Amino acid sequence: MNERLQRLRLRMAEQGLDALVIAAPEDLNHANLRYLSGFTGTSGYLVVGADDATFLTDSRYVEQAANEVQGCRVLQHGSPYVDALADACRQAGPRIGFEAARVPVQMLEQWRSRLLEHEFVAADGMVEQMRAVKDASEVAKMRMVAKLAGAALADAFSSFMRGMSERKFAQLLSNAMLERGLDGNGFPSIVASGTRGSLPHARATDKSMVHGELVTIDYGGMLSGYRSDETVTVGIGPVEPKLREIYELVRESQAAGIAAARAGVHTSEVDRAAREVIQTSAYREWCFAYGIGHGVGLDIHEQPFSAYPGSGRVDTELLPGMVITVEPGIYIPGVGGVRIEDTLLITEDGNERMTVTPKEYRFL
Amino acid sequence: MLFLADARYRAQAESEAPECRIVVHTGPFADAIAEACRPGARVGFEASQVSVRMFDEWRARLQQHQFVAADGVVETLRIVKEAKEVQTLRQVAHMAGQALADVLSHFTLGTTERQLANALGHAMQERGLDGLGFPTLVASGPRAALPHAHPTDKPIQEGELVLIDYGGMLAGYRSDETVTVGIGAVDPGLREIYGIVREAQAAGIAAAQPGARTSEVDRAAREVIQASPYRDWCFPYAVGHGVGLDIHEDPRAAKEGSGRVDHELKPGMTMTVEPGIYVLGLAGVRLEDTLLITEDGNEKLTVTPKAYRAL
Repeated sequence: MNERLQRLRLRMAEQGLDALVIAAPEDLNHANLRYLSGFTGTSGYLVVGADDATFLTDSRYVEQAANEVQGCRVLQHGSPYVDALADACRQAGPRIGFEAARVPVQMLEQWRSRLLEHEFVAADGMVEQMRAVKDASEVAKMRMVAKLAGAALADAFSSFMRGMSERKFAQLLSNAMLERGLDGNGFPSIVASGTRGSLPHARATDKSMVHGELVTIDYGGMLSGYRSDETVTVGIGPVEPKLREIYELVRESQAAGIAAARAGVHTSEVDRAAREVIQTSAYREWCFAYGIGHGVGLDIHEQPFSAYPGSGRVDTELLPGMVITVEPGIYIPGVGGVRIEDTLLITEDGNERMTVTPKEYRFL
Repeated sequence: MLFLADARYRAQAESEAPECRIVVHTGPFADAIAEACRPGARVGFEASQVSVRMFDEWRARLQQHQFVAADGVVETLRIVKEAKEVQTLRQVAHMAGQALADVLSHFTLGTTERQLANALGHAMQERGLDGLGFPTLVASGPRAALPHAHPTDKPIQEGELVLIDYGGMLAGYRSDETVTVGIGAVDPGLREIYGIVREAQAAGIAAAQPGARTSEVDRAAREVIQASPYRDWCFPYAVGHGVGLDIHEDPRAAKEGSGRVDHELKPGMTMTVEPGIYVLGLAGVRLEDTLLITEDGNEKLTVTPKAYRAL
């Protein structure tokens, strides 16, 4: 019995689908496959029918799949895999949903050429919507990964030395996360110091972090497939008053965003609460140009993505069990930047902060 | 040549792609295609990469354009490496090999597979690599017989063979090497398996010449194992693959009867040679080098000696 597959079947019935195909060979995203089946390997296909489900993988992974996969018939596919997939689809019925945002054109052509009588229907987002609300076991894992990653950040800070390169610090942090028992990084760490802080997507470079700079560290861990996401900005020694002022403004903005995040509120309201603080300040020009946050889980960026003015995005209502980031920032080209980010679990009456690093200003 | 980037990447695109005209797009990507290609144009696209949804968006907005699946065009160019690429590939294999030597020289009994993998990742960064070419496999004792054993918390013990399949990354290029080492005194039966795999790998390397087909390299290595008492435990996959910007790229070796394209090796191609014997429940041995095919044979890019060694 696989409760997630049962819930998926209700959604499939609403859309009149006889089957949903989740295709996750080596080079496509595996999160939906893992979520529905429990499989942790890197190549597999799932065909969910109204009454049964078939999980296909290659010879390398058959034994592992037999141990991990819940509520599915596990079969080994040959080469090419598509014959086994077509057999599974034939048994399920004529109207087959697939993830059009993931499946490449060539793959769909292969399916169609073997299943001429079947109708393939784009059915994106069904699993992502389910994943947006975490169950108790997922919440427990996400709490753990955020906590261990935070402990690793504290470890790395205690080994920090002025003049250290951004890259060196990123490595120190990665090693500390492994030492703390995490499986690895949730995503490549951003370490951006001094004027590089104005680049929201700066990777760590060989630049030294020196006295008087702010450094923004956006990092996360991974454990059992689940990720954490947190950003801290710290001073290297005392920094000039203007940078401190920016810090306090972003902190106030973040606090406003966190205060707004609770069940029943839409993501755009969290965005607005945080954005208003910066837009009514002297730094309005340099206000963050992205949505205030995103969901986190098996993917580092997942539903619900925050809507913001002009984004044209679906504005999701927050529900208990959703996990979102709140990460406003101010970015001034040529000067520097500040971003502060926490990952929150939405609860009935507010939220619980999963990331653990205090956000009061501090310097190393 | 147009390079379409979003606003975040404008500066980076300008400095990294100087031969392209950089166009920053804000609206749908399809509109940017329209700017680059006149109506009626025949536009090739990578059907094995482009998602159905993306393609449907293009077609909806660009009804005057004719789209044609054109996979493999770039991969075919990438298959023969330029001098500059060879230099980077040599460097990454060399540095990764040094990192492995660093780690093996500090090995202590009871280290777990995961700790060894972590230490290797750390050593590669210390040596100046950008990171891992792929997630490191460390499999000890009977676990080495599992084809894709990711490192676990199992301690590595006296008398075991440990298989380490690892690679580094530098400027986007990757290396790929597998070593199998003994821990202390190892059973003669396991040493025998090692000797056969070493012979198989040497035969594969000797066959990897310009003008040879990948299936001939595969056969040369496979025959050694199939003529041994371990024929039932012979590697089920093809003997190797190209390495470059991707860890697995063309020329992917063809096993006889696999129906795969059987590439002819040419100077400038890279190819791994990685036979193995995997005895379920007992042990596994794989030895892998990455070769550069040269005018008169091949050059080993990976540097770790493959003579049997015990830690």
